[in-house]
Amino acid sequence: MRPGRSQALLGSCVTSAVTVLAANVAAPQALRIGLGVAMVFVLPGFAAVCAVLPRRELSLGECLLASLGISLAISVCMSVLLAATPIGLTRNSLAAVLGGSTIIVSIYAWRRTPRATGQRSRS
Amino acid sequence: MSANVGTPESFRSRTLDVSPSPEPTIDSTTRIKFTWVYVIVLCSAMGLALVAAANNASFHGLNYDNALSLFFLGLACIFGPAALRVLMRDVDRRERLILVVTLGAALYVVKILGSPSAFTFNDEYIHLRNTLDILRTHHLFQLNPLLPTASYYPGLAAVTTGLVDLTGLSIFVCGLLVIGAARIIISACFFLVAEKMTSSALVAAAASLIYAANPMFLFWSASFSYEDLALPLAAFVVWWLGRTQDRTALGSKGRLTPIVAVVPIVAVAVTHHVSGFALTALLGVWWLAEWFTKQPTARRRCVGLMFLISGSASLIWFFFVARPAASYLVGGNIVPAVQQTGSMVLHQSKSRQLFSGGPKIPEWFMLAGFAAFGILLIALPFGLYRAWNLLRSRKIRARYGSSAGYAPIAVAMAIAIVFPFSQLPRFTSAAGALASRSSEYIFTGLGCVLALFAAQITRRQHGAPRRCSTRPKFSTWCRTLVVAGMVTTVFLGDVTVGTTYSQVLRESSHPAGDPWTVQPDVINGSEWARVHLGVNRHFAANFIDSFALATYGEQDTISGDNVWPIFLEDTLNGTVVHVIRAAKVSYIFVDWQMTEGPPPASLGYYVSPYEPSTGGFQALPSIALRKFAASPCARLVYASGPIQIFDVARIENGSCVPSAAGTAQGKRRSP
Repeated sequence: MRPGRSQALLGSCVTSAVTVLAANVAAPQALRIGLGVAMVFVLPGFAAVCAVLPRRELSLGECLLASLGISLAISVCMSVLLAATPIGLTRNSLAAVLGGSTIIVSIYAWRRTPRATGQRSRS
Repeated sequence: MSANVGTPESFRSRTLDVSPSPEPTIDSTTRIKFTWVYVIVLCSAMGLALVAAANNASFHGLNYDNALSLFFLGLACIFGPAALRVLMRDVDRRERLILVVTLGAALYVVKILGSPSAFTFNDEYIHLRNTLDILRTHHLFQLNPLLPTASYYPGLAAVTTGLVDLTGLSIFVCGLLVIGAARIIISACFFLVAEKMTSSALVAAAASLIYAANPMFLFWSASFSYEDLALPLAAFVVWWLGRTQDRTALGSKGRLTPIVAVVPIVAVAVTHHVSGFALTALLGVWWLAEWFTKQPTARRRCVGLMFLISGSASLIWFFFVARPAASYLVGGNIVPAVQQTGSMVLHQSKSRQLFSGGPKIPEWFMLAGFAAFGILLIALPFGLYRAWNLLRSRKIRARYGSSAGYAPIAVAMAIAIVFPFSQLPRFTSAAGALASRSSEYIFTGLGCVLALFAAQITRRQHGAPRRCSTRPKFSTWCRTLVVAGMVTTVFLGDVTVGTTYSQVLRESSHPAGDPWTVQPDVINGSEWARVHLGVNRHFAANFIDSFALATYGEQDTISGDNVWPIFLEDTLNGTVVHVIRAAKVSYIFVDWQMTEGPPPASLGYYVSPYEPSTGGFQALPSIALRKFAASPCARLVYASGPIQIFDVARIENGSCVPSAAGTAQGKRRSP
C-alpha cells in the first residue's frame, strides 16, 4: 500500500486538466505560473515514475529528482515535436499535449498502483 | 576494527566508508543534523550577500579590486563551510546530498546576481535568439545569424518557449527556471552516480565538490546555453539507468523502466551535440563493461539498447537534421584546436601568455589560478594510485559480488589521466575555449579519482602518526579541515581560470572604454530597428552589439569576419564598398563607444578576430566611424547617444558609389 499516491495521481490529473482549461481561457497570471511550472517541471515525470515504479521503489528525494528530470525531458521532447510539426508550439497545443499525456499516464499509473489490501497490481 | 581486516565488511566500513547493504544506504545509521544544515545555509546566505554587494559596487563604478576581494570572500563563505561539513565523517548521506544540492543552487544564484535583469553572456544571446524565433514563428530551424548550428539543436529554446507560453513569464525568468532545474538535477545526479560507483557517500560528496570546482561551473555551466541543459539530462540518464538497472532484470515487471530513459536520451540528442556523443560513449563503455564482466543478460541488453538508441538519435540528428553542425564542430573548433596545439607542441608557433590582455591583473588573481592547477596536478597521481589499488584489490569484487565494479573506476581513471593534457590547448589562442569547455566532462572522472584520495586523507590511518593532536577525533578533524581548505582553494582558483579578470563582476553602468556587455543605448537602438525597419534586415555591427541586434532587434547580423573592414578603414574606399556589396549589408550599426577604449579584454577585437592591429591601439580612431556621416551614399536613420544607424542600401545595390576622398574627414590619430 502506498498511502497518498492515488491521491497524488488524482491531483496530477486534476491539475493537468485545469492547465488545459487555463490555456484556453483568460486565467489569472498567478494561476498560470503555478500550473505552467508544475506542468513543465513536475507532473508528467511524477506520473511516469508512478507508472513504471508502482511499488514505491524510490525514496521521496529520488522520486522528486526523477519527477523533475523526466518532466523536463518530456517537456523538451514534446516542445520540439510540436514545433517541428505543422501544429506549431503554442500555449494551447503544448498544454493539450502535456496535460493530455499526463492524464493518460496518471490513469495508467493509478491502475498499476497496489490497492490498500496489498493485492498485486492489475497490470 | 583491526580484527576484521581483510574481510569485505572491514573494507566497507573502513576503506570505503560504506554500509553492509549492497545498495548505497551509506551512513544510514546516522541522522540529519539540521543544525549544521541551517548554519551552512546561513553561511551561504551571507556569502551571497557579499557577492551581491561586490557586484553592486562594481556596477556603480567603485574600486574593482576591492569589490573583487569581497566577491571571493563571499564565494569562500558559500563553498568553504559546505565543503567542510560534507567531508566530515559520520554525516548522514542525505545531509551530504542536501548540502551538495544547496551548494549547487547557491553557486547558481551567484551567476544570477551577476546578471540580475537580463542575459549578458555571449552564448546566452544565441539561445535567446532561438527562443525568440520559436515564439514568433511557433516553428523550428529559423536562421540564427549568431550561430547557425544552434537553431538545429532547439531543445533548450523549445522548452523555454513552452514555459513562456504556459506561464506568461518573460524569457529571462523562464530561462533561469529551466537552467536552475538543470543545475539541481546535475548536482543531485552526480552525487548519486558517484555514490553508486564508489559505494561511499563521503567519496561522492568529495567528488561533487571537486566537480563543482571546475572552471566552468560557476558561470558558464549556469548560463542559458544548450549544453547546460543537455549535460544534466545526460547525468540524469546515467543515474536513472543505474538506479533501475536491477529492476530491468526482473523481465516483464520492469520492462517500462528503460522506456522512460529513452525520453531524456532523445532530449539530450536534440539539445546538444557534444553531450549526446558523450552520453553515447559512456553508455557504450558501460555496456562493454557489463559484457566483459558477464553481467545478467537482461542488464546487458538494457544498457546495450540504450547505447544504441543514444547513438542512433545523436548521429541521425547530427547528420540528417543539424547539417551545419559537422562543419561547425570539426572545421570550426576541433581541427583549428588540434592544429594550433600541435604546432605549439612542435615549437612551430609561440604559445599564448596566460592571463594576458586587458588591464593589469593583480598577482594574487593569477597565483590563485596556478595554485588550483598545481593542487589538482599534485593530487592526481595520488588519486590514480588510490584508484589503482582499489582496482588491484579484490575488495571491489567482494563488494559487488562480481568484477563489474571495476569498470566505473577504470573509466574515471581514464578520464582523469586526460586532465593534464587537456590543459595544453590553453596556451593557444584558438583552442583555449575548447580546453575550458572540456573541463565540464573531464572533471567528472577527475572528481571521482581525486575524491578517493581526499576521502583517504580525511580518514585516520591505523598506526599512522597523529600529527595534529594525540586525540584521534581532533586529528581526523584537522585532516578534514585541510582537505576542505584545499578543495575550496581549487574552487576559488578555478574561478580565476575560467573567467577573465575584468568580467568576474558586473560591468560598470558607465563603462570607461569599449564595453564587454550590451549597453542600454545599444538595446534601445536595436529595438528601434525592429520597430521602424522591420525584422531580419542585414546589419553590420561590432561583435558585442551584434548580439543585441540579433535578439532585441531580431535582425540578421552579418558575421564580423565578413564585414570588419567596414569599421576599420579610414574612408569609404573600394574595399569597404566591395565588402558592403559582397556581404549584402543594408544597415551599419555604429557604436562610438569603440573610440573610447581598447576592445574588451576577453575578445581582443572589436568586430572580428581577423581584424588587423588587434591590441595594437588604445582605441578605434574616430576617423574610422566619421566616414559614414561624411558620405552622401550613407543615410543616417537613427542617432541616440553613442549609437548611429546608417542605411547603406544604395551602396549595396550599386545606385550610389561613394568617393573615398570625400569621406576622409581629418587625419587618423596615431595609435
